[in-house]
Amino acid sequence: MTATLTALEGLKLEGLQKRFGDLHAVRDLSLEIRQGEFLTLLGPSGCGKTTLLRIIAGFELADGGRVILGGKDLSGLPANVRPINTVFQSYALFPHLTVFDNVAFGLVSRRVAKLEIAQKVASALEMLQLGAFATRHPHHLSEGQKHRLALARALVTEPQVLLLDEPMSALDAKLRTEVQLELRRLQKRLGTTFVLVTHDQDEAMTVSDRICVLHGGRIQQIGTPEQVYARPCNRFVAEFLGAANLIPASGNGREVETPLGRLTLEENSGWDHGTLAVRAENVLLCPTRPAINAVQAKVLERVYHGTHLEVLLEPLFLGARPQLESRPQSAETRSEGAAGFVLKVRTTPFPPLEVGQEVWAQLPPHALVPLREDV
Amino acid sequence: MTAVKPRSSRPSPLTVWYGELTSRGRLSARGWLFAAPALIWLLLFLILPGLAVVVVSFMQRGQYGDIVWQGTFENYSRAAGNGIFGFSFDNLLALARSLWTAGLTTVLATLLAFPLAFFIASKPEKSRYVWLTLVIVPFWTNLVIRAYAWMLLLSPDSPITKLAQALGLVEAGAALYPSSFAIQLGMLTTFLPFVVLPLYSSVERLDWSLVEAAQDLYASKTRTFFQAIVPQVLPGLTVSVILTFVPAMGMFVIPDLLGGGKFLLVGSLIQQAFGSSRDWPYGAALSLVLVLLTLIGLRIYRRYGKGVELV
Repeated sequence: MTATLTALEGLKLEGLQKRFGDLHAVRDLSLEIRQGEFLTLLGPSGCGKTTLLRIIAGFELADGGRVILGGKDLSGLPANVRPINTVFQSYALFPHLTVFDNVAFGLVSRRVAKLEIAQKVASALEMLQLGAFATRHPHHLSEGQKHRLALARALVTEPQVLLLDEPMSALDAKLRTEVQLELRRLQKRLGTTFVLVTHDQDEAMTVSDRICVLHGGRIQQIGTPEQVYARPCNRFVAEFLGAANLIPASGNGREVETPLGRLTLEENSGWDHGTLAVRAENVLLCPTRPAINAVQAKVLERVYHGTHLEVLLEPLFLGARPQLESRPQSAETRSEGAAGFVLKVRTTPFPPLEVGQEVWAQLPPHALVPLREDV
Repeated sequence: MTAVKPRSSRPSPLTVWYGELTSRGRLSARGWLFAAPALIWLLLFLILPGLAVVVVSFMQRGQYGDIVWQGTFENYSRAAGNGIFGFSFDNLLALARSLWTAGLTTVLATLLAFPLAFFIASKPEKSRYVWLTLVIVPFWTNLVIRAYAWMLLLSPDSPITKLAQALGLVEAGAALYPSSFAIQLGMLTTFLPFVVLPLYSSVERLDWSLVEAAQDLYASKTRTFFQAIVPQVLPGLTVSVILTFVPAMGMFVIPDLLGGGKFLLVGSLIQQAFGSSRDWPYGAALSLVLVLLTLIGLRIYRRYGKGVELV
């Protein structure tokens, strides 16, 4: 009974540690990945996500901690006995072998009978629409085909976990979106646990059941794409995913003081001095003064994007102008506003706004996310 | 037409259009000009002398070592072993011995070079150059001097020989040279750098993700080596084999000095024919036979080293 339960547990990482000289790449990291789940390790380069993937695959041995798959401790085992396969960033296809032999590689290593190899390879090639290319060599394939070949090669041995190390970075933008959707469908069909490493937040949102945001070798936040995007837990997550306004605030009730004036939160912030995040698309522009959390502002800059309008607002009434640190986010061409604070808003292109125009903005209480001060 | 933009006006003489030097029908006077130094070099120092050797090999030796311009196949017949005193196996034996010595040298040097190349490639970049320098240090000394050094090291009183005597490998008081062992040792040390350097250049550029991919796909250590490493270092290995096998086939300095003239190789035969015997037509015939055998050897290598197009 307990054995069945542990088998359903999937992949479990316990207190993993990895150092490269002075660099602490993975710090006491614990994570549970459910059987059949599509989990993405998301973070900037150097956040430890690739190291973590290599520890799971067995290419690196952790300095501490355990890797447990289906209740079995894999920590000391080399890569070639772990039932875990990898799709490499560069695909790492064997250039001297044909498409067929590349896919057959893992089966041949496992000394599977020839007839069975032929059948399995054929069905894997079929599944990934490579049937017509069986006799070609990898360098005669397009990037998209190479990607599918790498998938076929890794999946044909029916691993319990498939690791994907930024496998879509070589594809052009249009193809990438297509491939992401395909990958998700494939994963749902096979029910294999997929662990994807990427620095591309759109990719993570598109494919994942859960996203694990990594930074400095630590997990910052883990949750569904909706949770991670809409309720970022700290400053790093709020900044890394999408465009957020970070507003310094003080006060420990539902009412907090900010450079934009007094704002009302949905619930207590839990601190008496900290930062609020509000997504640019959650700021509402109103023709008249809204009843709650109103900010009067002047349009500093507008950028038309077709689907939406990006507006930089300079707040007009700043109350007591508290000397708080402010860091407006990802504004490429913005100049500092008079008070050093600029509100980034993403809105519909209508009605049209002009630079210098005065508008009312509302920061709805539910859109104000108090951040944990841990980074 | 591979020009990047339409050629509306004549470009200045300094403009080189993309593909102009290489595209078919466009190997213009300028292209020939650039290729000329190499072509002249090849013509003067390879093609013309080569043709001369072919022609001379069908001529006869004059009484005083001159060349009598009269066609004959006699030199080839002699090369095969038909001498004045009837047929002898000496030449064929020398050929077989050459093939064996050159082949063994290549194989042993490769076996030694593999771990060495990986060892150097695994070092930090700065210390690699130290190791590579150590590999080429033997080139700072002349081949003949190195051969004499081996004679000293293998002489009856050297520590190495004493050790061999103590172990019962040779009789007491005997030397390790002249012997076929001494020849092999001398050849091996002479050619090892020629194997290490090209092999190292391949190992250094090795794509380790292929090695990881093989391990990831359940390959054993042996399978990983032959499927993920060997195919990648094959180009370097091919250069190594050519740089070792070809000169080793014609080597005469080492066999003469360390073999004491007892173990005749083709190189020595050719050297004698051109040198002390002053029999150029016979030497030319022997040389051509050697070239032919070498090409056959490389051909065999190419067949087993699939996909390598160097030969």
